[in-house]
Amino acid sequence: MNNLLTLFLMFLKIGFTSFGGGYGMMSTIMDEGARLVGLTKGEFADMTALDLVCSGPVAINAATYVGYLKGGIWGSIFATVGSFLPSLILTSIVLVFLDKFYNSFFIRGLFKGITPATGGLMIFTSLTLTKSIFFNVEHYSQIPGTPITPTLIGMFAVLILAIIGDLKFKINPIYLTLAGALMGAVFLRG
Amino acid sequence: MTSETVDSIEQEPKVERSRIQKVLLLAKIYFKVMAFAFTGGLAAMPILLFEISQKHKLIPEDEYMDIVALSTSMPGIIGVNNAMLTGMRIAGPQGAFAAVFSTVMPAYLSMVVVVFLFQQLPRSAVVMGAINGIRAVSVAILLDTGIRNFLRFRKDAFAMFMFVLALCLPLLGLLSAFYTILLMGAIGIIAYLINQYRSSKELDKTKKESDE
Repeated sequence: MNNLLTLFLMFLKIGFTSFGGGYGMMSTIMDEGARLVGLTKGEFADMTALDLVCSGPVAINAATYVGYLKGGIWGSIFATVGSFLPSLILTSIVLVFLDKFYNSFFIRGLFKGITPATGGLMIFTSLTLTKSIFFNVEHYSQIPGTPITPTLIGMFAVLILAIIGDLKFKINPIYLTLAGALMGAVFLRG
Repeated sequence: MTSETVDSIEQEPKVERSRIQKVLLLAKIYFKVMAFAFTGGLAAMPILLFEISQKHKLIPEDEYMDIVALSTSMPGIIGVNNAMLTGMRIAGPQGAFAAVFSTVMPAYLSMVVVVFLFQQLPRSAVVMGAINGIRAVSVAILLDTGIRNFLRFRKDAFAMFMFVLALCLPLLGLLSAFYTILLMGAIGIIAYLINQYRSSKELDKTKKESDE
């Protein structure tokens, strides 16, 4: 029961502070998930891939995923409700005080600060994942000591190919994920 | 003038629907569109525009675009914000319930099935390899989102400062990501107020000059 409440409150908190859709909340899901419900970096990385295979808003997918992993079916229900409840509350406020809310210095200022910050947080998230998943270490200082295995080189190759495919050729992320899975199944079995 | 009146007549809903019909139609539209929106709620917006304003003429296009602008510029989940505002506008609380329910259910059910299947996969060498590959692509996609944001704001000094601050604070272990967002929001509000104050002062100055 305690666990379900933690999941609910965690996603409630994340829902209120997410700007610009599901990807805006990735860094907080990684951070708070690790702290509150023991979400590993590997589980988190799988989530961002599985989000692409599932339909609907990414934020709902993410809440369902973490909830299901950490609290079964009930966990998934509590986390999902927690994630969209802030939307219902905030839109209700907007419907009552439309102009006041939308044009308030509060909302405009929040956006001015948070929109560029989400970019920095995304870089932070991907660096943390690189450290934990690629090198499998706790701290950045341990990276120079890790042996360079063929799997590590292969994962970096996939990473770079995916970045080029996404940024330069604008390939649909779903196809990139499938290609990554295929390349991994062949080359990254280490 | 006459052409304008003709336009506005054409934009009126052609079929009169009862409230219950509107509620059911909303549920159907949102369920259908959200079930096929794989890359998130934002990607569903143009398809929803087509279904709601052009095909079924539930509300005029410009009104729907206002809702899209509002739902993307609010905290929370964009798809749910949109469903709530559109549903409420078209058929009141019942409409909002129908639209939100139909937005959440496909996302919830598909993820439960996918995680279940994902957990059932045998952890053989081939599957672990595939998971390694998927994880590498996941990191790339997250990194790209950050890079796109950087490219968008690279000429704005304040935004770049916020970008770097939001990267360094959690990276150096000074603040968790959640508190970093709160802090960035607070700095944004202060910066916005300072800007407002400055521009209002300048406005006063030009006013005085023109008075003289």
